[in-house]
Order: sequence, then C-alpha cells, then structure tokens
Amino acid sequence: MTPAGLPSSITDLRQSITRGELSVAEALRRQHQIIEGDDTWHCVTHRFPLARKLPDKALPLAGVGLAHKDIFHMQGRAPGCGASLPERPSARQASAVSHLDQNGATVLAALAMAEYACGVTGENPNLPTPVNPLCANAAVGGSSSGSAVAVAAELCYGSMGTDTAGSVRIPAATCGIVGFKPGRGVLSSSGVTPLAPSLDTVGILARSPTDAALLFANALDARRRSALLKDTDVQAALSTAAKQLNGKARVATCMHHVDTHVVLREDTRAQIADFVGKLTPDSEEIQLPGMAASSHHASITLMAEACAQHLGHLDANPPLGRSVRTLVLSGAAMPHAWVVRALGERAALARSFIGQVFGRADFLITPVLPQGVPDWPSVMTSSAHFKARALLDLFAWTAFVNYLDLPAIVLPIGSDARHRPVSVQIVAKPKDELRLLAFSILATKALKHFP
Amino acid sequence: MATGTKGHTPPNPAFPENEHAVLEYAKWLFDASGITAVESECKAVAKTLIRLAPLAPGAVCTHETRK
Repeated sequence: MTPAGLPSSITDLRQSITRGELSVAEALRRQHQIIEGDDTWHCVTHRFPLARKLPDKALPLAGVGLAHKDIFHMQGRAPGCGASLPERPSARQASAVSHLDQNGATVLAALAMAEYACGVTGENPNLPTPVNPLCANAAVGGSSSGSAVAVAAELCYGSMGTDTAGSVRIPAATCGIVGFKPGRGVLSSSGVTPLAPSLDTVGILARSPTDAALLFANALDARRRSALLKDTDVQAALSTAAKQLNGKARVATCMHHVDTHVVLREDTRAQIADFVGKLTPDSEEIQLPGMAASSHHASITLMAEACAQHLGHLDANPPLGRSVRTLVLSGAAMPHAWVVRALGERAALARSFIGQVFGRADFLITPVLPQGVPDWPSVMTSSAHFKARALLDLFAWTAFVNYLDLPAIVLPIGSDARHRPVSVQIVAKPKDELRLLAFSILATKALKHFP
Repeated sequence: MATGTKGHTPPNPAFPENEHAVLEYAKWLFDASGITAVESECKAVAKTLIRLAPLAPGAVCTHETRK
C-alpha cells in the first residue's frame, strides 16, 4: 500500500476502482492529501489543486495521480525549470501531459529538477537538496531528481521526465525505480523546455515496467499509439509481445566500458551476471562498436546545444548556478569543427552500432551506475568531498544511448553490500519500445520486489 | 560554439597537451566574445576541452577550426 493507503500499482488501483471498492474521487483525494502534506523529501516545487470535474471512471487512468518534472507546461503554469524564476501563467499544455489527462490521469504537482536540466544529480542552488527515500546519505541522480524521489516515496504513481544524457535513467537507478527512455520524439516534446534538442527525450519514471508501459501508451499521440498498439489495448499488445519473446529473446551484455577510468564494482558485476543468467543461458558478452566516439560526441552535442539555449542567460540576475554556467561556457568555447563532426558522424555511428549489436541480439544489457549509488558529498560540486570521477561515472553508461537515439529502460534488480539498489540498463533497437517494455516485464517476473 | 573574435590572433591551445595554453585560449575567447567568466570557470572549461580533445579533429584548435 502507498502512504495514501492505496494499492501500489496502477493496475491494482484501477481494479479497485472498476470493482467499485474505491471511487475516483476518494483515490484522488487521498493522493492529493499526501502530496500536499509532504515536506520530507524535497521533491515538489508546485502543488496543483484538484479539479472539480472528475475524470470518467471508465478512462484507463482515472484515479491515477501523477506529478511531472517542472520542465513541462501544465495546468496553466509555465515550467519553473529549477531556476530562480517567478511563477508565470501559461496558455500552453505539454502534449504528452494532455494525452495523459485525456486518458483520465490527474496531475498533482510539478517536481524538482537540476537547474534547466543541466546536471546528472539533483543538486540545485535554488532548491533544497532532494532526499533519497532509500537512504538519506545516498545521492539522488538528475536531472529528473524530483520525479525519481516522488515515485520512490510513493507520492504519485508515475512521472514524466526528460532524458538528454541519462536524466530519466540515472535518477531512477539511484532511487531503485524504473526509468524508461523511448526514442526521441516518440513522446511529444511540444510544451517541454528544451536543453539540447538533438538529444532531449521525454521519458517515464514508474515503480514497475508494467506501470511504465501503461503511462507510456497513454502519453502517446493518437498516430503513434495506433502504430504501436495496432488497434489493441496496451495490455493485449504487451501480452502478445511477451508471448513472442518468452524464452526466445537473444541477449547481449556489455560490462566493460571503453573508458578504462569507468570501473565496475565486483558485486554489481556479479548481480548483473546472475540476473542475465536467469533470463537466458545463452547471453553473449560483446564490445560496443563506436562507444568511445558516441560518448564523446554526445558530450560535445549536449554542450553546444545547451549553449545555444542558454547563452543569453549568462548575465541573468539572479545568476545561473554553477552547473549551468559550466555547461554553457564549455559549449561557448567548443571549436565549431568538433560540433560539426559530432553531428555529422551520428547517422553512421548509429547504423554501425545497430547493425553489429542488434544483428546478433534483441536486447543489450549494460550496467547503469558502475560504482553503485554514490554518497551525496562525492557528487555534490559544492562539497569538500566532491570527486569529479564519481560525477562522470553517473552518465558513463547512458549518454551514448541518447546520441545513438535508442530506446532504453533502467530496472532495479537487487541491492549491493551497502543495501543500495543495483540496476541494469536494457537497450533495444529503434522503434522497439513495446517489445522492450514486454521484455522488461518478463525479466522482472524473476524478481520479487515489483508491485 | 566558439565563433566570436575581435580580429586578434588567438592563442594556440595545443590540445590536449598544454593545460596552461588551453586555459589562455578559453580566457581569450571569452574576452573576445564579451562573455564574463571567472578564473575557476575558465579552468573548468579548459579541463572539459582537454578531456574531450583526444577524439576531436586535429590536436590543435586553429583559427580555422573555430569558424
């Protein structure tokens, strides 16, 4: 049960509602009360009042309370983006938020994030440091930090975030929840504040892959939903995909990072090997083609495009935080030839990667956090104990996936010797989001901790 | 991206071997572009450029590569 005394999963909540055991009004009242009263986790930036008109009980997400990263235009409010901005009204609504609303979901709150999404932790000079519900000393990844905390603390059933170099998957991994990044543009980015448009991707944070799949399918626009689900409902489509994959999915793994500074903890390696062994006896360990170039080009693209977005804010008052300034200044100093090459080689690197990896496997499994979930001080740039290596480790396994524009999901599979979550990243070929979600649901059947 | 100059000859940063030269390049560039950056920010930028340089085209960032 959640802190609101409601079922933990969306499926179970919806069953309670459709069976008449719980009304939509009561479900939403309890969720609203919990998120209104919460000041423990430092994850909420704005709370929305409940609408007087309730969603139709028959809608697939009626009664489901969500809260999204404060980067979306929603409920007549312009996003705060974790910046020192005054509250501003907005006549726009992000398309993906609208689609969820039309399918019955209710937005409860806007959630904390790294300033302008420039950061791989929840550190933000304008906001209190978010608290990891699993362990107060453990860092919260970013930039969708509030989303991960709110979902892990069960303040809401799910959250949309944005992922430019891992900003959905990294916070999910630090908080032991699911982070799903589809291909870029699969969930509409209309009404979402950009950081690096070539890489920015709207994604989902949820407590289980089934919940993530439900939210994903209901956040799609009509055209993509029809193409993905082939005019069936999401449960039926997942079930069909799962039957086709069960026992037949080809799995490749890569646990060796091309950057020798990125070292995988032995207990994490053992956990991942054990997990993969439960999925298939025939997995193949591979090297990832072009990984060094893809990671390198991802950084260059991110910095150059972030500079284009925010160069005009460098002299803003109040000033931008250190992380944003560093990213923008690095982009400003970036030689143009580097950027041209980074963008110019993208298609060929993606073709080569897809051909070599997905020619021999349906799914690629990698680590997410090579050194596990770090302590806050080691990744807090303002701390005397800050270690640049610990910060770089956070996105070492994620940024190249954005550059190659592949769908990926982060799943918690256990915990390490410090009782912090160990997660894997499962990557699929383009347009394979539904099979990736179905495979993730199958994979978690071997794991007992999902709601 | 680095585009702004005042027509002066930029310092040669000699990526990535010479950290001091890269730092001088960053300072020169920000000054020429009218960007205000403190010493610690210039150092952070120089470190980033040095980290990214090995896979970038050319070991040296010339005036031409910044056009």
